Amino acid sequence: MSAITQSATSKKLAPATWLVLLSLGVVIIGLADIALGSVSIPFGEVAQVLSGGETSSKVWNNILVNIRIPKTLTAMLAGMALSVGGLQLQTLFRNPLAGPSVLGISAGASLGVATVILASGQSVAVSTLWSSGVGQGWLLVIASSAGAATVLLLILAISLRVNDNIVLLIIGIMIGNVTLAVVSIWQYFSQPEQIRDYLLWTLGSVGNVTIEQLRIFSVLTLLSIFITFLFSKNLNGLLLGERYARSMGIPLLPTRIGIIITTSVLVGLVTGFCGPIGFIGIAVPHLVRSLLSTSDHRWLIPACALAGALILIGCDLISQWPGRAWVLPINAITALIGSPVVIWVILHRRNLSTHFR
Amino acid sequence: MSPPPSVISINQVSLGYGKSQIDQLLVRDLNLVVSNRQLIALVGANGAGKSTLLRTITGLQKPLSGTVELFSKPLGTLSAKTLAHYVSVVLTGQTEISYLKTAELIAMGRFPHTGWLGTFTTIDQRKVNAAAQQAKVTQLLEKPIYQLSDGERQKVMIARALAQDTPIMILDEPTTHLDIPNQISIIQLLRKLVRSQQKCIIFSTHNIELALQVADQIWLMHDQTITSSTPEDLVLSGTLSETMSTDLAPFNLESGTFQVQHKSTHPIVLIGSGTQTLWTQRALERAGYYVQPYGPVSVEINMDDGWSIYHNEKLVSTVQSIGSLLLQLSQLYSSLTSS
Repeated sequence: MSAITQSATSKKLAPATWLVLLSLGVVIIGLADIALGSVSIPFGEVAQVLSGGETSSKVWNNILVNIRIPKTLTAMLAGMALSVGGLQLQTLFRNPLAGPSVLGISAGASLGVATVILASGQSVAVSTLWSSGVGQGWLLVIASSAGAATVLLLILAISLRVNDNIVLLIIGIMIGNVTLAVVSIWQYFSQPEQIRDYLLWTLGSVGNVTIEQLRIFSVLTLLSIFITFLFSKNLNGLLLGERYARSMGIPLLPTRIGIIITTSVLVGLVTGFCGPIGFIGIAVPHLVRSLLSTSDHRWLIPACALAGALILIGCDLISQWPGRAWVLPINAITALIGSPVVIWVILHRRNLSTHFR
Repeated sequence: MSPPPSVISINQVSLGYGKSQIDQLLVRDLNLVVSNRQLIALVGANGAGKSTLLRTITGLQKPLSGTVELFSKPLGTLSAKTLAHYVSVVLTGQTEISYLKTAELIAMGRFPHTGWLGTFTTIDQRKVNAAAQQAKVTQLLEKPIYQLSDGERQKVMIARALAQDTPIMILDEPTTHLDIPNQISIIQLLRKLVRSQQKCIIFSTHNIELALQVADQIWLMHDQTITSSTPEDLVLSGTLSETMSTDLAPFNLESGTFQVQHKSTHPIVLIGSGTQTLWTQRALERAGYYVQPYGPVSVEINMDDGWSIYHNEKLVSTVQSIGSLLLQLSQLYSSLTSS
């Protein structure tokens, strides 16, 4: 986060410079996130573990390898996935308010997860569900991806008939509400334990992903972002609207389907592994466009991935504030810390509104 | 002698909306062939289907029936990318505005020619520079799009279409929202492109008078069909005045313009000659006077030094501007009617 606030004050930098700055920021804040926590571990020991060695204390070793490093990596991947997903949706719908949470895609993922948690016959603690390995841990992720894809497909089908972006957005919000209403009714008829599990899940957490799950999470996320990057020319074409895009030889349907599949995988993965994390998906793309002063997706996609990682790791660092025993829900932190930052950048730069009109 | 290869060929095309073809049919069984490179103006009343026709030719919309062929290849068989090598478009209405710089926007025209990620070659760069020069927007290249005026933006969009380097260019109302000098400069640009670049350009417009002056060919949309002819034939055959004239603004054959018809009540005699008299007559007609060169009329205006108003051959007053003339006349007539 520090890299963003510092550099926003300096005048226009080249997009490549921004990528370098953001990468440095991710490394620095990532190291800080690993080194700092409720249990204080000396930096020397942390460095030793990171370089592949062992610490003098088995407890520290365990904390670093099994808790903090996976957690930081999860935050990094989730930040990347949500930002790139949000960027794609904003370009596809050509709407500044589009984002995974606003268009009901996160709600769809929630319904998928609720189906798994609330429909499971007996109460299963979420932590058990997550850590139970391939079986139900994956069930959650698949259910949430399927839920996200269902809502996104529904919105896409409507977008074929409705040309007005605002109308489409309202419909998206409505679909989100309907989905959440179904979840509420379901909750009403569920056991208190199940409801508690579900509520815990909605608070969001980057600390429940095991190292094995992290492998798949990272492969799928990076692959989806890479595919998105391959679509950057098509996304650029969409900036002028679909008719112009088509007249310039951009195949609309494959582009749309590609965007929808990669976005559902990205959002579905994050929501399944970490819960519905808001704010990042809608705000980071704006932040990045404003900072880089470009609409070129060849720059925006890597920059969004880096900035999203930076911000979510930063939020994780705050949620586990060093020396405190408690860990705040990440969802609250993203909005609490992130919103003022975005407002500050918007007011400072004053060029955000020029992207969509 | 074999027929010349057609650039655009429209065969038995019907256009319209929705499934109930009877109610919303805009064009029925249209046949048109464009065989050489020329500037074609598409004119017609609001809602006649100009935009629909243009979208159909560009492959953005399918006709209800019939086929459109570009260079003897049916549109349906062309991929989006191939089509983008044949036709470039400039659409009506504001484009979405973003952080794009003018140079980046024009560069988008090269999309059909570049690879997967849109990497530029020196040829692409040269085409973009040439397009910017032809459209006279080189001084705007570093500006973001949102800072451009409507006229500048239209030129930039045309430059983008030029960079696409297609034999056919289609523009949907390129001069709407522009002031007269900008309208003329856009149309002049299109004329120049037809001559120097050997392009076939079709543009729709509501400015029939301008279209008559500049287009090689006019496509006049009326009564679910299109009459295609040179502007002069269209005027002389009477088709234009038959279809576009209204009681409110009949087409004037001498001036080639539509003239607003004013409801005239009071007859008045205007004596004079030259430009000043002409403009005085316009003002009087607009104000509702029926202007005659002579006749048994009680009110008379004599133009030598200023405007002298006579009533029953007696001088009422002499004024020095058309504004005060109209004022004096309205006072005179109100006193006449009240007495």
